[in-house]
Formats: sequence, structure tokens, C-alpha cells
Amino acid sequence: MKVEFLDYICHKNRVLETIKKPIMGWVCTYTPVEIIIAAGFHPYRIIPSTDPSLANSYLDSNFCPYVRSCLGEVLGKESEYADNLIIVNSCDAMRRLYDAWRHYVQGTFIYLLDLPRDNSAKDIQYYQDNLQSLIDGLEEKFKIKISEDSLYQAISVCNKTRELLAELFDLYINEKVSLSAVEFLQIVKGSMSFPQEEYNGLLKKFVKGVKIEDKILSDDSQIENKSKILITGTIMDDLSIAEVIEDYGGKIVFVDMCTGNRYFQNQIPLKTSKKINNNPLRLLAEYYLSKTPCPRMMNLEKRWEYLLKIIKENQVKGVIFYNLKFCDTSFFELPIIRERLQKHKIPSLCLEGEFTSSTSGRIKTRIQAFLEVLEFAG
Amino acid sequence: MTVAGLDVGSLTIKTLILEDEKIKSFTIIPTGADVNKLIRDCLEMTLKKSGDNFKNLSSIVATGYGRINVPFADKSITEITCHALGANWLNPETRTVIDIGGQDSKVISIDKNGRVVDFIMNDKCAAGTGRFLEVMAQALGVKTEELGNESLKSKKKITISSMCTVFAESEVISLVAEGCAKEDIIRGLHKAISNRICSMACRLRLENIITLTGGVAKNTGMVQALKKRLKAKVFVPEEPQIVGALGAAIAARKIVYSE
Repeated sequence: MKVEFLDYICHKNRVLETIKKPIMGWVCTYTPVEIIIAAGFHPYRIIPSTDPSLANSYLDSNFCPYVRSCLGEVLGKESEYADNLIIVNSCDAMRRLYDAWRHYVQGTFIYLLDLPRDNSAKDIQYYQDNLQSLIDGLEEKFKIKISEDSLYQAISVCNKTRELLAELFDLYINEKVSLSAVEFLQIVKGSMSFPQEEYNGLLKKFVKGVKIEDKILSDDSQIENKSKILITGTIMDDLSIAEVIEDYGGKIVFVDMCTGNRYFQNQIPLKTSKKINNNPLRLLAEYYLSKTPCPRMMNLEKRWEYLLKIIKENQVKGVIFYNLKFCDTSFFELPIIRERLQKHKIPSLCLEGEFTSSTSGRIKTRIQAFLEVLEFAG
Repeated sequence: MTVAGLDVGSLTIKTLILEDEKIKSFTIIPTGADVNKLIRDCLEMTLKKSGDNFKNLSSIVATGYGRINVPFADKSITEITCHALGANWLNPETRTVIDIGGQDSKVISIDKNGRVVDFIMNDKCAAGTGRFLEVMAQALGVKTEELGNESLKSKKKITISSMCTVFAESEVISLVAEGCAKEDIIRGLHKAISNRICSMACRLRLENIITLTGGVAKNTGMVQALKKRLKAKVFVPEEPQIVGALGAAIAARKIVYSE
């Protein structure tokens, strides 16, 4: 059952075939996908498989490889998701993607959404206003009306997806089911591109199924013998890294990435808040600014406290920083954070991704050596 | 107890036989296309030298880039762990290992027991590695082994600005055309590599003693450039090339003890 489910949700072309609605692309997990759904579009996270260097004639080669890969994916090709795209200005590279996309790809609705960096009352108000502008823009461009009801409905659909993913993660982490980290991450990835309602149905069935199938496993967990790893960074382009970690005896207990826990960790408290606050945009603004944050949303002290909390809560033995090349936001504070981790006797490893699939020998050697360090540290 | 350590590197294969506290024999041969055969040949040669045979080996550990290509090894361990073990065995005061191999360079912080505390590795390109020096030696018409002594003759400072193997080669060629002395160019190259290694090393906490391993540590000019730049106590083993294989042998011994 697992194989079929993974096979079904992971084939990009098949996923695209199942989409009946017009596609609205997104590239950052601060994009309010609920609004896209409420507007009658299908939100599709662009996770490209194109060599970033294809876009080098348009964006310099010392530029975020994810951004270059996204651009390379649609340049000069018939693409299902080149026309409509919401970009959040979560970093400079994203803003340049917006510029380059408008200039070279053009498209119908290319929107830049401004995201504040903090979550004070003012920030929430500001983000709420920006969400209203996005709605106005969508309504005007596509001559549609986005109702409050449809927003509430979309919120509840997305909540369901996150809730199911969180439940499955819980089963994975406690080894109640036979699910590898790669498989789990594939399922998360799938939820970002598959039609939501159908996905929720499939995922619900899947979670229920594995629970029954793997009941025997619950007593047989090997988790105590494994080195518990926190992997933190931006986007996990190459899932085989997770496979290598597992192969060498590590257990990933928290994926602090936008294709991991950050995406599903929290939900929007719909039932309780609806009566008190009748504005769904308010709920969205509050949710997105207070969800498990991306390094971009934190200063050094806040990020340090955040990481330390994850480490303590999950008995993490080692931290792997996985960031894409040239990501200033992620790299800037790393030397200080690594130094502090060392003081806490937590070994850490920095890996650089380039958005090309296939884990090379050099990454494997680093991961294996790192797990040897953890093993000997006892 | 007799154990073997195999270090299958990118440019050379090293095998070593360890009996109790004594290195009985070792062999270093260049790698080639048929790695599997070469690994077996290399081990055979080493066994022959020490008068041992394969059956008497209590345990075998493989390390290096080709570590997974050794079907008869009991375990494969990364070169990082092995260099740490080897350097600790040769000099227990070692707290930092700088290994400059054929295709990569790495800096390893270790504790008093030879355990890795932290490490950093550069292997994105040939810049700052043994291969880089080989290419430059060829461009200058000097044998790789002679680079060290040649550079010690240098009287004039030359700065090599490019560290990319391809660009540095053309820089070297134009320096030769300008009539610069070979030894000055070589010293410039050593300085460029040591700058590169040191800027990487400084990302870790560098503690004395620093042990240099890998083939490049045989180059006296390179060692001198590094010493000058690091301003630290540097230890160079007699045979820096076999430290990885030695570490693998020590790891093999540990396997036997834990069984």
C-alpha cells in the first residue's frame, strides 16, 4: 500500500494530470495557499528538477540555485505553471526571481507579496492588509469574488492536510510504522503539489492503513540505538541525504526546513477563533507570522533559543545544517551558532546543496564521518 | 594480533599491517582503472613484505574514497575518523589534523583519545590539493617530489593570484614566459595553497599540536609555508601518506577487541 501511495503522489506528470483547476504556482511556505484555493486555483509548489545552470544566462551563477532552477524550469518551455505565480519576498533572491520572471517569462498574474519579519500586532495588521491587497488583485485580474466562506473552507482543508502530516510524523518519529525519512518527506512534498481535497482523502486512508499494517512494530523500535539528528536549513532538494543519514545509523527527529516540519507543524485554530474574530485574513496573517519560523524570520538570539528548544525536546545528538549555496540568510549566523552548539557538546555539520539531484560521494563521506563522531561521542 | 588497514585514495592506494603496537609493513601504489585488482595487489605486496598471509589477519578496515569497493573488509570507516586515530597513535599530543590528499583537504579537531570533535572538508575542486601541485609540477617540468627542495632555493617573492587549477596553470606558464625563476614560482604556489588551507582551518578551533598528513606533507616547502602561516606547533610524521591506513588498522584492532 505504501509503495502504491508514494508512486501515485510522486510522479510529477501524473500529479499535473490530476489537476483540473488552473494552476497558481508558489515558491515559499509563507504563501497563503488558502487564498489561492479560495480563488478557485490549484496551489502548486514549484520544486523543480531542472539544472540551475540553465538559467545562468539570466541570473548570475552565484545566485540561489533554487531560484535559478525555478526559472530554468519554465524558460523557453511550455509550462503548466508559468502563467500564475505568487512570490513572497522572503529573501533577495526571491525578489529577483519575481523581476526575472516578469521580464523573461511574463505570464498573466505574477504577484509579489511583502512579508514582515516579526509578529507584533503591527506586523500582523500589515500582513493582513497585504493579504487583502492580494485578494483585491486576484479579484480584479480574474473577475472573481473571493468570499469569506470559501476562505474558511480553504483554511479547513489545509488544516486537515497539516494535521494528517503531523499525525504521520508522530508515527514516524516514534517508529510506530515502517516509514523511512525519505518516504515521509516525499509525502510532505506531495502534499504541496497534489490537489488538496483528494490528497487529504488519500493521506487519511494511508495513515489509517499503516497503523493497522504495522501494529507489530510498536514494540520493536530500534530508535534508542540511533543517533538522533536535527536537520535544519532552507529547502531539502535532495531527499537522498535523508537516506544516507538513515543508512549510517542516524534517525532524523526534526526536519526544520520548509519542506519538513515548518510546513505542517501548526494549524489555524478555526473553531475557537471564528466566533471571536470574524476575519479569515486575520487568522491567516496570525498563522503565517507565528508558525514554526524560517531562519529569515529570526534574529540570532531567537534562532538560537528556537534550535535549543528543538534539541532539548527531541534529545537531539547532532545537528546537520543543510543550506543551498549562496543563502546569506542561513549562512550568516552559522559560525556563531556552531560555536554555541559546541559549548553544549552538540556536534554539528554544515552541508551545502546545489539543487542538483544525486548525492555525491563528498556529501556521503561528510555524513558518514559525522555519524561516526556521534557514535564515538556515545 | 595482526590487522590490516587499507586507504583507497583518489591518487594512491595505501595498505598497512599492524601487529600489536608495531607497524610491520606498508605499501603505497598509484591507483588505476582496475581499482579492485590494485587493492588486492597492494595488500598482497604488504603481506609478502611482513611475511604474513591473508588468513592470519584478524580484521581489515577500509577507508578513503574507494572504501566501499573493498569486499573483503570487515568495515568501512571514513578517512576523517581514520586520520584522527592514526595521528593520535603517532603523536598523542595531536589536537588538530590537517590532511592534504590527492583530491581533497580536510582539517580535523580531535580530543586526547583521538576522537573527532569537529571537521571541515574541501573537495569541490583540485585547488589546494596534491593534484594541483602535480599539475603545476608538470607545467614547470619539475618532478612532484622535487617541488619542496626547489622552493627552498627561492630568493624572490611571487604571488599566485588564481587558485583554480586550470587558471593557475596558465598563470604559471605566463610567469615562466616572463622569465621568473622556477623556485620562486613554486614557493608562490605553496604560499597560495597554505593560505587556502589556513582560511579553511581557521573555521575550526586550531589547537596544538597540529599534525600534517597526506602526501603533500612530504613536500618540505609546503610544510614550511604552512608553519609560517599557522604560527603553530606542527608535527610531520615520517610517512605522512600512510596515516589514514594506520588509522584504519587501529580501527580494525578496535573491532577485534569489542567482539
